[in-house]
Amino acid sequence: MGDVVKIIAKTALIAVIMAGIVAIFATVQVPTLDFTIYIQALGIALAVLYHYVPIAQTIMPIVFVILALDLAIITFRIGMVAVKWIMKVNE
Amino acid sequence: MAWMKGKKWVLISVLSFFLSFIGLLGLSSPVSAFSFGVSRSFGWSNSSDQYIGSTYGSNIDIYYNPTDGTRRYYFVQGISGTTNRSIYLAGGTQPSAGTVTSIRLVPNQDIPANSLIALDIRMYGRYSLISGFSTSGFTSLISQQCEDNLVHTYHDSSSLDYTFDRNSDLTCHLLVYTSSAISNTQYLTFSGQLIEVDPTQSFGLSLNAGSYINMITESGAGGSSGLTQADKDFLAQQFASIVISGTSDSADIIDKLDEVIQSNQDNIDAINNPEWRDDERQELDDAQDDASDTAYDESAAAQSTATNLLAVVGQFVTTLTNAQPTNCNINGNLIPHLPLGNLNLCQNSPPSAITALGSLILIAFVVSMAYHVVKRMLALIGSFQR
Repeated sequence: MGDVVKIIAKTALIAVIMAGIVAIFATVQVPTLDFTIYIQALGIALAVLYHYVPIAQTIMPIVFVILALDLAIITFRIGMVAVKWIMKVNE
Repeated sequence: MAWMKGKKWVLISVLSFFLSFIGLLGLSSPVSAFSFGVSRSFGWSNSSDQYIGSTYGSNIDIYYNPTDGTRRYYFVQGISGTTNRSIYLAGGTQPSAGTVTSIRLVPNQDIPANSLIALDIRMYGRYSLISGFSTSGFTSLISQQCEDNLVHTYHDSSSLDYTFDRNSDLTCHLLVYTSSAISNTQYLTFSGQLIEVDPTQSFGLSLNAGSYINMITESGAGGSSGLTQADKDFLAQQFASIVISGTSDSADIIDKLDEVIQSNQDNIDAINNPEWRDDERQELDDAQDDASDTAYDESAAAQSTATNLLAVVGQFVTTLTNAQPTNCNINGNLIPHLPLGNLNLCQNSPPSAITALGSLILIAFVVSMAYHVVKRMLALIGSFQR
């Protein structure tokens, strides 16, 4: 019974931390940032890249998919670390 | 990518410095009621009806010589064949005498809304210029200067109070304001009883590359609402002075016009919104000063971090979607004007060696990334099996 309580407590702790992070992101007001210059620079850089390396038009989506996959793996691993910590009740 | 290990933070630092530098450049631009962009030169589309594709020209000449049978009579409706030009002199009835009632021009690139356009129309041969050029719709002719004769034209009310009847060159410098964007599939139209031609005499019309400058007004200070009559009067006077001083190149004219306006910003209330009164302007200036003093002021523009992130991601995706290698005008930046020499993505093919090498590097990069991700994935699966 003590183990179950520990697991529930740890889960609740993580849930609270997650909710806190979400709440901070949703409510903290920051001035609107103007990223136009960066976005324009990015657009021009991409256009120049596409011009010189036409195959980039095919490859860039693959690059972004790989990056997204990498990000998903990292997120999953962090999640697994959290789960392992929750389930570790014998310490 | 093993070489990157240990150098990661150096790379991140260099990238951050570069991005911060660009950001500082953006932030340090002067705050004013209005500011002007960089002047651009443009040519005219060389297609028959509307923009078709890859042919461009900075200059367009049309010429009629009645003794030359191979030449077409250009100033008629329904121009066709190999002599197609994007300049239309409609209203003439060949081979009898006719009057040119409209000249329609198709720029070879997009001209953004809120732009001042300078262009020159040169006529030669025998002809009679009946009235001035005029525009309608979202374009307004601010001034026209024909040779040394000062012709002030405010708004759309243009008429020359005298008639040219000449057998020599005449160059008219025109300043046009467009409140809406003109794409390279749209016409910039001049109309009126423009030029009377004699079919027994030769006549030519030449159009050099034009120039424009985009007026970027701060939010609430004009936008696409257009210029006031006072704005036009002011611009017309400045334009006349510049032309009379001997400046005839449209790019130089636009540059000088920009300089004059910039140097008189504090004293000029001319270029602004009709609702833009002095007291309101002062209030906004004060508000802007306060906002810049308090970087994290709880202003009305403040948004949540999440909203900001979403907006940036949205912009990023839009940029990815919109980046087109064959587009001359990318996010308002013309590729030929980038500090890349005279690179023109619209016309020039890239050197094949660069394309091959670039493709090789890109493929190697992707393979390396894929290998890295697969390794991570295998490690993850392995951790489950243990």
